Amino acid sequence: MRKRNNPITTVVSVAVFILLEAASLFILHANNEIQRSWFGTIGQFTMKVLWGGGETIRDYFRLRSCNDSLAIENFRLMQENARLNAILDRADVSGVAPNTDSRFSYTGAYIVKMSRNRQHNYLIIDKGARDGIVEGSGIITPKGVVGIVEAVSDNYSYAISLMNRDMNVSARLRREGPVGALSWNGHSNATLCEIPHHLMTELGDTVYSSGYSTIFPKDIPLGVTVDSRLKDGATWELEVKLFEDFSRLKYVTIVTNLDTAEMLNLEKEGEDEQE
Amino acid sequence: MNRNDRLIYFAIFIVVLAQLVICNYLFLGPLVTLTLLPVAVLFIPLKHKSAAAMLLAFLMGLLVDWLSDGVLGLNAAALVPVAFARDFLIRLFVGEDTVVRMDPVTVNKPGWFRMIAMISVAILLFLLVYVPLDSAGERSLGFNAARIGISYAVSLLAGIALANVFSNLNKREQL
Repeated sequence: MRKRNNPITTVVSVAVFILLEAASLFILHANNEIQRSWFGTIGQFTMKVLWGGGETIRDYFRLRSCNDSLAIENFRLMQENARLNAILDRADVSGVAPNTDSRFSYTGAYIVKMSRNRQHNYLIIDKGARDGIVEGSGIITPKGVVGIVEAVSDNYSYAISLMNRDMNVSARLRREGPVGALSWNGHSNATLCEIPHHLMTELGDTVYSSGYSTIFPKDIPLGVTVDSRLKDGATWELEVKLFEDFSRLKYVTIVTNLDTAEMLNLEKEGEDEQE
Repeated sequence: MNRNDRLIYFAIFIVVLAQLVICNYLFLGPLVTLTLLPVAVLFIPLKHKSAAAMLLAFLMGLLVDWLSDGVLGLNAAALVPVAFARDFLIRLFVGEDTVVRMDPVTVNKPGWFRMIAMISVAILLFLLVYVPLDSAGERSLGFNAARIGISYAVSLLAGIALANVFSNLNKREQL
């Protein structure tokens, strides 16, 4: 009497099946030209599928390095763009552009840690003093301002996030509009304050960085106005929906003003003279 | 090996000879492949386990290929899967106890409906390997499908008759 579902018998049966079937196909392959050619075609197709699949998987794992190189290329282009903008801005009336460089340098970085659910949020990025990052550098993306570097170690930088009650950014309503202070409202949007009462505002206006600081370049788009209210009957307080989605943030650009020291010194001298 | 087993093996040998005659002298057209071997494989005595049945099926197929001057390895490649599936098919269509007790397979227990279903699956399994390997990508899918369909119908009729013969031989042992 046979045992029911004997695993050893099953394994032996499968092994013998594979062996005999392989032997049959080998005999078929060895003795018949048409079948040999067909097996060759099938083999080539199978290898193509396997290698193609393998290549797809390799490509997937190469995405990180690809992203890195794209980010570096992006920063280089931003730097170039800033340099060219500066040349255009300083061009004299005759249209001759002076040979000058941008005030800002750009460095790409990854966010390695970030808080989002506090009143005083922060982030840590993977670039530090060794990469030329200094305290007071700005952190931006193409979609807006992210934060300001507060402390720097050799390899990392600590920054306060725009989603921090202590942080203000000088922002302009539209490209040529009034300038005010933009700060996080504690929820999902930001508030632009100090817009004079007599100036007309419309919902949907874009808010840009003003450039009136030593930290951020001007004309970085930050968000659009979604609500407005009059404060103390004197100024507009505008609610701004930010372009940047902080929950999906991964790559940032650290922007460093190369003239910061010079500008701060000048500012200090001016203040001293006034006193 | 008892007398009935010897009789069954002799019958299988006769079937192999008949298949040789069919392959060498009975050309029914490019769309028809008349095969008796899958049914013969199903009736290999259950005293011999699956591995032994596969080896026997392989040798039967190789012998037919060799002596019929056909494509060497073709019948062997198509018969081995039938032998591999033999125990499973008998369990499914005749009954688990037949395999466990290694009873001779007869039509009495499952009835003709189940017997024909079992033969159908065995023949289809054979043809699904045989026809594509034989055409080796030289024939269209439609041609292969038509060949499988017509060959299945013809082989099934022959297979039912053959199953009746094997069943009667096994019945004699049970009596």
